[in-house]
Amino acid sequence: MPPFPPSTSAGASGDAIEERELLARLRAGDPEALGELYDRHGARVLAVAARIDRDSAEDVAHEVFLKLWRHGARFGGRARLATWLYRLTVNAALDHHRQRRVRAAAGLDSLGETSASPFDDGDAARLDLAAALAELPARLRWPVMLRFYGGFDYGEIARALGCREGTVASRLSRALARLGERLGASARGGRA
Amino acid sequence: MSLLRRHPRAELLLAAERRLDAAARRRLDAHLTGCQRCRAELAAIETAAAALRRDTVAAAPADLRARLVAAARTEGAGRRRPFAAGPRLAWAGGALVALAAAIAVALVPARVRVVQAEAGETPFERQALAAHSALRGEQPALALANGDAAAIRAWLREQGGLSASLVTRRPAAESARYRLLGADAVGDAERPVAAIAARIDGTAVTLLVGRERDVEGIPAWGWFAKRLLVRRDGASGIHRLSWRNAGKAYTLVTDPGVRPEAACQLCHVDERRRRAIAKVAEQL
Repeated sequence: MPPFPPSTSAGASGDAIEERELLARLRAGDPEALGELYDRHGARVLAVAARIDRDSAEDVAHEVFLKLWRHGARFGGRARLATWLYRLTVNAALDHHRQRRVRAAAGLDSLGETSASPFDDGDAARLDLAAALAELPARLRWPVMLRFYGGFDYGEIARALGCREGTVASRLSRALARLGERLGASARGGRA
Repeated sequence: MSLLRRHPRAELLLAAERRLDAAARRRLDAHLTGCQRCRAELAAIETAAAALRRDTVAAAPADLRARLVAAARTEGAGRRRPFAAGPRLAWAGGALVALAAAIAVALVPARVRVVQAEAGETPFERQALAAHSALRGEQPALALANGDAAAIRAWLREQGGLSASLVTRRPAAESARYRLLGADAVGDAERPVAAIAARIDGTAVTLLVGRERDVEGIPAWGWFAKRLLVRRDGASGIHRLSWRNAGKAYTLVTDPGVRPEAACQLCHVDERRRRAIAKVAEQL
């Protein structure tokens, strides 16, 4: 088993061609093409959204895929569709998260309460990881999410974030080191 | 003494990814022996990577998929069209696209490479041929007797996550030529395989789909091109085209009278793809 998510660039040309076909069908107004694109990207879009705001992950995914349906033709194929989708996902998830914080501050909502969610499995380790990810600054969190949940390689992350591959490697390294320290501290705290 | 003058952060990441070559790993190990800080950092990186790997992505809920497709269906053609830019910008964009397409056509070789084969038929191809024989009659017995492409795709998904990009909408001039009949399960629970029955100009065509990992002998992708395995029986004139794509393996069986490239259009109506198919057809 590969130690990290497998690179999506090797052998991905077939996927890319099939994706172009799906986008062509989407532009032609075939709703089932949207379903097939959801089959391909839905789980990862939900995973990324859940790491930003767990409670609104499904709403975010719904919003993102409807945007794909309405504006999918704007995606010109210069980058991978996944890159475009994850950018939409992050923006939408951050919007939801900000709105919930505002509502919580106004006493209308509670950030502590979590609704039933496919990600809420009560696994403490998982919650630790989510909390540790949330603590990372965005410039470090993003490479991790794209690498591990999006399955991007360094080049794709660099293009998505508009930086060099070396910067991606350096940020990933710093992010993982911080995450590992935080998780190690949680584990020690849990055992104490 | 450390062989590395600095703290090798990049190498630590590569080590955690197991992508360091032996010599680089030895240099790193020598550094780690004398550097507590880097040992701790490597341990932290490995801890984080292991936790992230365990944090598997949950399956996307099917009801959300259904809601999305329903919403898209409701919005239908009324949705906003892309590129609301002014005519000048649209023209410039179009010119650039045309230029890029012209360059691409000039520089990029055909993306499908045909591998002609005479012998060594694989079990999957034999299964395709058997399914074709069973389904080429007037009224074949099908587990799903529904010619709607979306219904077939939904049914395929239930058969162990199989898929095929069957065209839902076809140019009006062609719609009478292409007819999907439905699909049949020809594998088992451990090794799902489905046969999709179709008619092109009334002649039988069968598309077999299975999971790539269950199927041997179908060529993998090359560096720059999909490899398409082609066999043709001299006596019967029946063509078999086999390929892999996105984790699935496919064999398309066509009766004499149907050009294989016409059968490829069961799944492709995109004009660029059609040109590519026509190019490949010259090699068949």
